[in-house]
Amino acid sequence: MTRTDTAQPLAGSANRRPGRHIRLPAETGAAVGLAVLAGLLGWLQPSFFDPANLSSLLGQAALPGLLAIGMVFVLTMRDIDLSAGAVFHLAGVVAALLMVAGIDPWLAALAGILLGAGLGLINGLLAITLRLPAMVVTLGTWWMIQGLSLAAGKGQTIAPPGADSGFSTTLSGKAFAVVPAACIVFVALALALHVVLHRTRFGYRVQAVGSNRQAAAYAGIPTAKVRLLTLVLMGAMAGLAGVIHVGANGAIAPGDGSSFMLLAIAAAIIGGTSLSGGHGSVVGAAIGILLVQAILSAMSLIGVDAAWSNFATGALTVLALAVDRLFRLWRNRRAGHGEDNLLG
Amino acid sequence: MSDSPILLVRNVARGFGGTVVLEDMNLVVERGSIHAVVGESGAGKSTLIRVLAGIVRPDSGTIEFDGKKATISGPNAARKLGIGVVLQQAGLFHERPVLANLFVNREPLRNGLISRREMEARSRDLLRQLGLAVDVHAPLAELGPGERQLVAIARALLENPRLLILDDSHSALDRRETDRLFAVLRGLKAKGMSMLYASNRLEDALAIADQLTVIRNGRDVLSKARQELTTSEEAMIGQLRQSLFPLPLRAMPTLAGTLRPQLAVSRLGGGRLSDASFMARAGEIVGLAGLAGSGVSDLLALLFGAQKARAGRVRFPDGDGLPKTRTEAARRGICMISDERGNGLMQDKSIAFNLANVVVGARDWGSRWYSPVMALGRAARQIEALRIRSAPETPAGSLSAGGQQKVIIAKWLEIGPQVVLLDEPARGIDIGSKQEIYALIRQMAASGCIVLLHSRELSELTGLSDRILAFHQGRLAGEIAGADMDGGRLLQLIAAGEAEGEGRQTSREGIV
Amino acid sequence: MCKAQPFHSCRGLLVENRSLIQRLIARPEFGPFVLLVVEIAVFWGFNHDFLSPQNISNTLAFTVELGLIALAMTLLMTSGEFDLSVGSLFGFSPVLMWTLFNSGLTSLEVGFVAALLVAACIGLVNGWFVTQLKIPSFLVTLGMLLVVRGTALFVTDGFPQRTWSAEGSWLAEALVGDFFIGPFRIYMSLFWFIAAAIALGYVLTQSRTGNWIQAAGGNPSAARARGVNVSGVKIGLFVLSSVMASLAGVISSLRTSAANPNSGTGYELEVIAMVVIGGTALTGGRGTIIGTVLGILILRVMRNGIVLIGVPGLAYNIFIGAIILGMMALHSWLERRHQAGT
Repeated sequence: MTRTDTAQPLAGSANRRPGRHIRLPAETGAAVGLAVLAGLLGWLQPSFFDPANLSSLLGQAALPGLLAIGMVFVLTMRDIDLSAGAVFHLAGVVAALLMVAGIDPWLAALAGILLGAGLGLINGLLAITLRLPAMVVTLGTWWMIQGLSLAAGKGQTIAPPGADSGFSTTLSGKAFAVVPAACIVFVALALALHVVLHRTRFGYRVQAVGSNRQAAAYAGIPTAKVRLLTLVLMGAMAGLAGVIHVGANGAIAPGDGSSFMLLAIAAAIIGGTSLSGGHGSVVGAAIGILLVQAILSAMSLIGVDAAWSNFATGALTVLALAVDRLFRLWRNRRAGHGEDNLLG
Repeated sequence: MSDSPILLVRNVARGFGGTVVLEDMNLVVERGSIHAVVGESGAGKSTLIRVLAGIVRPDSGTIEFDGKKATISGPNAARKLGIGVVLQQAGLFHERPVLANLFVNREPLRNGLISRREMEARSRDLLRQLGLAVDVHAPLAELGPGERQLVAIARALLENPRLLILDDSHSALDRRETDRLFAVLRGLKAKGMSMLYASNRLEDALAIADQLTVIRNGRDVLSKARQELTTSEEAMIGQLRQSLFPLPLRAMPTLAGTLRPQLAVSRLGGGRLSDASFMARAGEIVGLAGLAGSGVSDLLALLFGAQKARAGRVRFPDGDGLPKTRTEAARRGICMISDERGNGLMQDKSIAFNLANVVVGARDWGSRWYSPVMALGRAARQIEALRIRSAPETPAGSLSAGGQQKVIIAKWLEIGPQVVLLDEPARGIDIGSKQEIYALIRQMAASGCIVLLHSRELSELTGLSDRILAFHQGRLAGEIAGADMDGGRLLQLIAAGEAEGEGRQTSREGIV
Repeated sequence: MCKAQPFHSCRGLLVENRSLIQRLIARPEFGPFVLLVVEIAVFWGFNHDFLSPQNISNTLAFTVELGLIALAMTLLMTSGEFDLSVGSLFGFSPVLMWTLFNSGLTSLEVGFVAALLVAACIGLVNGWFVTQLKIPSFLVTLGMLLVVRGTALFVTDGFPQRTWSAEGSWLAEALVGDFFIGPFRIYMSLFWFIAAAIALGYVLTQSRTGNWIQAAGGNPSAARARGVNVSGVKIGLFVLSSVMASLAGVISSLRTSAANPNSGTGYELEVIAMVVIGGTALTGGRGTIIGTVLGILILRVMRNGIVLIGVPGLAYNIFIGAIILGMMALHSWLERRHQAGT
């Protein structure tokens, strides 16, 4: 079959057009969308491209972005981690408390990350031993972790002292005066995890288990181990995001990160990860979070009331999902599937 | 019988994403008659039924019901016309009680609330006629597969359809249950119900039908009244099956007898199975024959680690006993290939991805990396060898049933399992692919695997196996090899547990 | 063919003779019932005030409001969907009602109807997105949660709406009029709740609509094949859920004479927890109103009891999370045992 390829298709990435001759990576759509959006916003409001605005945008996108790229793995495995936002918050609180108690910031950060991974491990173990889907388990652990956060933080904002410590300055620094450190971490991890998902055996297994868990088991893939590792990864990413938040912003407040879980899921889906499992794109999720954050940032630039940010996040998510779904339907119809089955 | 046929199907065609399933289908069902549609699985029977049931719309062609042109736009439209359908996937609700299943969305109401008493009353007679002596308030999941099929049929009958369509929907019934069902159907025919009956089983079709249509590759190739079928035509239909099998490679491959790896089963018990002992060697295909409830499915489940054994010991060629889980079994090179392609195939992933399942996914040693380039190369190789008609990047779900099964087998061929368990591997597959799959199975055996094959189609067993173990009600009733396999002895063993010396003469053409 | 012999199921396996007691135990509501009894006993053991008339009245008053939402959620979850926007509607609807009233545009009653209508529309939108665009319900409603919450905040600029004591208004009397039965202070809303529970219970178990709901959740394609309008059913249930949430919010605001746009935060999870603990399957296909009522009581008793015995209120979340997990594990285990035994 003839192929004019512009890029080597990554096996396992969404590829549902068997008759086409040009095979573009699935992320192209999202990237184009981002470019168009950025252009539009910049044209409507030139201050969008202000270095200050851009760096704030990138910095704000990095945190839910870290959750998003972890979430890609979980979604690809046909699971969902609802506790990610709570893990983010608890890890941040714990790290901040440790710093307040005088522990070296880097160690405290490490502790936060390990805590996140540990919570992910608990999620995974519960899911496997109780034989429940991760969505159900994380519904319960969401509660518990939120409770722990409230209890530990006593509902106050925690600002660790030592804003000039190495930790803080590193994380609140910027490269090229524009790109915040958090964003660098985010981009680096995004690229790394993209490779993991598409080129390693672990990533292969994640896709296999997500596509058809039964078939994966029948083929000998250790599904329990894969689920466990995925949730641990998710937890670690959430923990990492939490400690970075403390370092970059200098404090963690009770409401921080409440919408991150939803943003992470929306970003992953915009980026091409399928809710029904089997396909995932880390780079796509990264582009997705930038997209969403760009819109939010533009809104605040235009002077839209802060109270609208909730509204906007919610509406955006739903719109993004709707557009994604419609796009898929349209693509299916063009490929000639039409109505295969009136029973849906 | 009144003059006009109740159903007229003309030039109906339907394709799915590129494959043509029905090409030019014509069918005439006379009023008050039972019309059988026979054909190999994959020939288009199920699609035809789905068109008539309103689940799928034809691409072209006309349908006339009761003399009037009909567009069956959906299941409700079919129901309004008076068409009642029982599909293979019966669409039952397993957690709900039997009674609820019988009346889904047709519950009789009293004062706005569902009247259980009325449901019981209406269904009592029919259930008795069908021989279903079950607690109607028990959840459906507590019934056996045969009873569940009868519930599905009862559900359709309760609506008094004018045309009843059955799609291979009594595959789980044994002889007695089938006879009873046929008696009920004949009774309904006498009352004026017309029936369309699609099946793989020729002997059943010949027993019940007034008229017969043979469907092949989406067309009707033969359509006649049952009585008018000449013996040569009957033989031709029957023979469609015989030519499928690769030339009898019954001779054992030449490997040193004692050094061949073997599977030793000793007094194995679990589920319905009890006290089964036998041995199987590499290079041979051992057929497992038995009706539902004979223990064969339990045997396969035990060997695959899907079920825990109650008693007995098993030794695999790698020296260990029964696997504890399916994953462990697969990792040890014990694979299960069944007609449930959902167990072996990742539908939305590419062929190349699927083929790497075992080689990349399951192995703990070796490279930690997954190389799509290598995967594509591997896929290209297998596609070539197995004659799968698709490109490596296409999603596996877009293949035909036969193609999908080939991919499933191919992924195991990559590593060469020690034991291959086959459970109706060729069901629902078109003729061409069937032949190729049979050849693949032969190949697997010849390359040193131990192959255990279970199938309900006795001709498949006799055509492929080197020897056949017959099971009856959980026990190994006997072993048949060689020339014996063509006789009625096999049928007797699985039906009754023992073969009579003389006595019953089972007509040869009845054996399918 | 199989004739089930006494004590033998059709598979030849021994089946216990199911006495009444055994059948009771096998019901999904049994576990929650036991849990509730144990819980009450434990709290009463710590502090006898727990069962005082005043405490019971307090607990009951608030129970009703969440309970109305939980009843509707039971039906929705039985059909296989979630609605996470109920909490935001709980806060938004009274805000809308009072805003309309305070601005002199309408009377309280008309404001009430308007709020319910708006809620119904939101339910329609939810249902449409879920059934026509096939986006998972919890994502759609999660987004809607933010949309509604944002709107509420915008309408009020974040401040609670002024509410007058609604005494004298016949609406308030009908919904939250209170009176004393002996030492217990009962609100009218309790009767509405009981009526709703009975009505929805009957619908779910004895009506054709209830069968549609269970079929839609158990096996949607089989349901469609039988002519059930699965999409219509689900849209209707989303509307019911939104309207109930709205009604609950109004009742609460009338009872407490307050309308805070932030109220209701977190209620959606609490309601889902109530439904799940009560025995309704998370994946749909099976639902129990009785179980939900038990679940409602369990959670409310827990919250009330924790405060009463002096455990920090923040521990509530942890307990609830643990109970959710425990209950679902129990259900899952029972299901598997049930399936293995047949």
